[in-house]
Amino acid sequence: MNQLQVLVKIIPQLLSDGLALGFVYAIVALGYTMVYGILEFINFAHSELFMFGAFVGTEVLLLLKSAGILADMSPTVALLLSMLVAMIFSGALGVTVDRVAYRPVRSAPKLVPFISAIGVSFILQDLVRMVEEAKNGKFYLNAPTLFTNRITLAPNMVVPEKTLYIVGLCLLMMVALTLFVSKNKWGKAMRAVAQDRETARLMGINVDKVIALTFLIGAALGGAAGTLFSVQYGSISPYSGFVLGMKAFTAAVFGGIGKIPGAMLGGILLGLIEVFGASFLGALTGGVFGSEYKDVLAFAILILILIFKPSGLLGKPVGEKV
Amino acid sequence: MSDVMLALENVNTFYGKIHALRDITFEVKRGEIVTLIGSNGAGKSTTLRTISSQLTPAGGRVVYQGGVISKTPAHEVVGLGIAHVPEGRKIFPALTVEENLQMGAFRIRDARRNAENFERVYALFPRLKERYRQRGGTLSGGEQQMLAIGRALMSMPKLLLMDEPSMGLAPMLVELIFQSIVQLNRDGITILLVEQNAKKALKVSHRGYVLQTGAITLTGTGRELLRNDTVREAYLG
Ligand SMILES: Nc1ncnc2c1ncn2[C@@H]1O[C@H](COP(=O)(O)OP(=O)(O)OP(=O)(O)O)[C@@H](O)[C@H]1O
Ligand SMILES: [Mg+2]
Repeated sequence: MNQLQVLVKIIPQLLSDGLALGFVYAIVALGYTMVYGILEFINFAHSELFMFGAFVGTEVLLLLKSAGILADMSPTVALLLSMLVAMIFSGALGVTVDRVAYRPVRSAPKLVPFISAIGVSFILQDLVRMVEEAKNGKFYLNAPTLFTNRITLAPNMVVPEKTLYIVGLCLLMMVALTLFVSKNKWGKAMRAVAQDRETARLMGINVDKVIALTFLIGAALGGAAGTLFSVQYGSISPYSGFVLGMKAFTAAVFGGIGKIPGAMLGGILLGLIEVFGASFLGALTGGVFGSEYKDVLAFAILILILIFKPSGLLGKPVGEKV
Repeated sequence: MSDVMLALENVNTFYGKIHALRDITFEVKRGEIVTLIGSNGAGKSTTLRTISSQLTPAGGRVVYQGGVISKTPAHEVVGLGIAHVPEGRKIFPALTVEENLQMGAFRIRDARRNAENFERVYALFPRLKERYRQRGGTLSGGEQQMLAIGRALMSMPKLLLMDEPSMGLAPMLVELIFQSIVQLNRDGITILLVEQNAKKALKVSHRGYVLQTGAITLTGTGRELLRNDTVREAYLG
């Protein structure tokens, strides 16, 4: 059996790994895209809201563990509980960051809020590092194991239970968000503000409130994704947000920045490309490039697609007005 | 309460250093249709945007139903009963007709009242009912204007500010829009109208004001202004 045939056998495994990673990217990408859709501003600190949520969620799990409750409780409940707490904390932090660091410079030239965001990003990284070092003596956290079962979906497809939970919960958040922006009054107001802020004001919509709501939802989703990430990969550091955030932001651009379905599609595809790339790269290039070049491959594909479709997969052609 | 619904008192509005409104003073009485006429750049839109608080005057005050609203945020002015149909319609292009109307009703919490308002708007513009699921951006210019007016009506205004509602429309649609303006006024809505189509506007108006480079230069009843030589020469050509 040659190397490629071996790889073909693990395709189902790659698919499940790729989806788990891709759905996490997608949820984080939503936070970037929603804020961009409304403010045309890249919330560079979004990756730190993700990281913060990961720490909060993981701390909740560790707390349950040290209290001796975790072993007796249903892992589903533990996961949901930690995720919920992470969403609340990240959401609150997201709104605070907007209020303190972005809103005062809202009407300044675009680079100013961007620099502000980079500053917030560093501050949050170091704050979390400081607190964790003071508390635990080290700056990273290992998440307790929640799920150990492996589930057989098909003869050739055995996936870890946690992967199913991650994909399922991410899907649930996507459906909820989609319903919110299409059916709820405030969700529609978010779309109205994204299309024409001045006119939205004339409708009686409090634009500052809508912007705060956007940060709240985006950051809460980021916090949830952080918890899921920590549970999936087992550890988290103050710097885990940076690379993941870059990729999630790329996914948002890839899907069409400002478009909610675009962020979802872009994230899932990026996860799949990355995981498949890591495995197939060596075989395809006769061993010249190993799996450590997976990001090069993923970004090469993205750049290629963006050259032909600069507005992203689901974006409007450049120049066309909404 | 006096019968003056809206009064501007020595209002001065700036865009940065550009002094767009200079000591504007005028009033609109309850139940009136009042037209502002003036050539391009005279400050008509700026006047309406100052009233709806999109712009804050640097001097003077806007008084509505006895209260000063010059510093009230725009989203709260709507709740007081002032709706603004902006120049160029400003439909939300990616929202459906129905969603656009819902945005107009953003501050109305009473579901039954909302349903009634939908019925009223659809009765006034049946075309909107036929297209309620269509995206605003795909409507024709005339339909967009109906939607812009309908959307403003959804907030149940007492005072309606209309900025060039007939702009760019075919004669038949211009007629329809003017008929709806008269109809709304009969139903009890006070209207402040800005129009390039000065003749038609003055014909349906109780009174009018002429605005020239940011200042009011002339006023009179609709009929007086229609007969006025300056007005005829400059705006009725
Ligand atoms: N956003 C803005 N920034 C700077 N100057 C502006 C702005 N909007 C309008 N102005 C200026 O203010 C003055 C009044 O403009 P306004 O739009 O009120 O005129 P108008 O009477 O409505 O004209 P039109 O008939 O062309 O709509 C003009 O000189 C215009 O150039
Ligand atoms: Mg104008």
